[in-house]
Amino acid sequence: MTRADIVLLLIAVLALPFIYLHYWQPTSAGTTVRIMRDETLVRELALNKDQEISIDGALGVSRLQIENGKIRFIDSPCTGKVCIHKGWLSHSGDFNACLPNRISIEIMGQGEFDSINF
Amino acid sequence: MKITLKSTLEDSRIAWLTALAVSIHVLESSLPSPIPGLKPGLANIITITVLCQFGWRTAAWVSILRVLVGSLVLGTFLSPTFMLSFSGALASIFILWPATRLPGRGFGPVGYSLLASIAHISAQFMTAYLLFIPHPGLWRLFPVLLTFAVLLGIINGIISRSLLNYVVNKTP
Repeated sequence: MTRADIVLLLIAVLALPFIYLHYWQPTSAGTTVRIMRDETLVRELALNKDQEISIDGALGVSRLQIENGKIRFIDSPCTGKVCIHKGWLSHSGDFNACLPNRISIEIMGQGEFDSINF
Repeated sequence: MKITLKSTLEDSRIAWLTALAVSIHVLESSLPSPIPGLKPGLANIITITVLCQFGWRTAAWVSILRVLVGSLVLGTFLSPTFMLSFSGALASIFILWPATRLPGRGFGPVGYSLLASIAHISAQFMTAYLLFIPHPGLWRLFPVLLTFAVLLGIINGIISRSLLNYVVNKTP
């Protein structure tokens, strides 16, 4: 191995822990939730107010619950109930959807991206 | 009208080496992978060996042609798999150009392979993020695949070095 090889190897190996630290930072807690029906925004709600919401979807009414800065599906007229089993969402960027009922929710934080803008 | 194409010695050398790289590329695609997106990239051993033996120009031809022909053989041409493969190959080749022009002894096969491997995975993540999965969550996978890229880059470099020793000295 040449000297350049060894320098590169050392840089790569030493940089790895920092790459892990940088990309595995815990995500911040979300502040609001966006509720979408198909491609359109239905509601944007703050996560600091506990409440239950009913949203009309393609099959019927999905019910969502907000509590302690978290949100979950508590009822949906779909067959799989995948949306309910996914449980609570609280971090910005977290996403859940009831595909049969065409309803999705995404947690938003400050200055974060959203996955819908694609 | 008869058209004759003159092929130079370099053309046929590129063709032979590309055929070898394509065979490895296709063979490797049938290997199972423990993590989606993780591939040993054995065909890059050929790229690095060619780079050390015949220079950057030949290596660039072999690398780009290998991805194009490999995708045609596997039926993934212009699919997301191909886009990721192609962007990785382009990035590796671009980063190798200044690397071959270092003063002094410069890099050996291990350094070239490691550099190309890091460029490859980084470009693939950028392509995946820009074209297919524009969600910041994608980058959580980056450190893991980068770790494997560093490991496999070094291993491929070592294989390339012994291949070069064998080709030059005819001793394994």
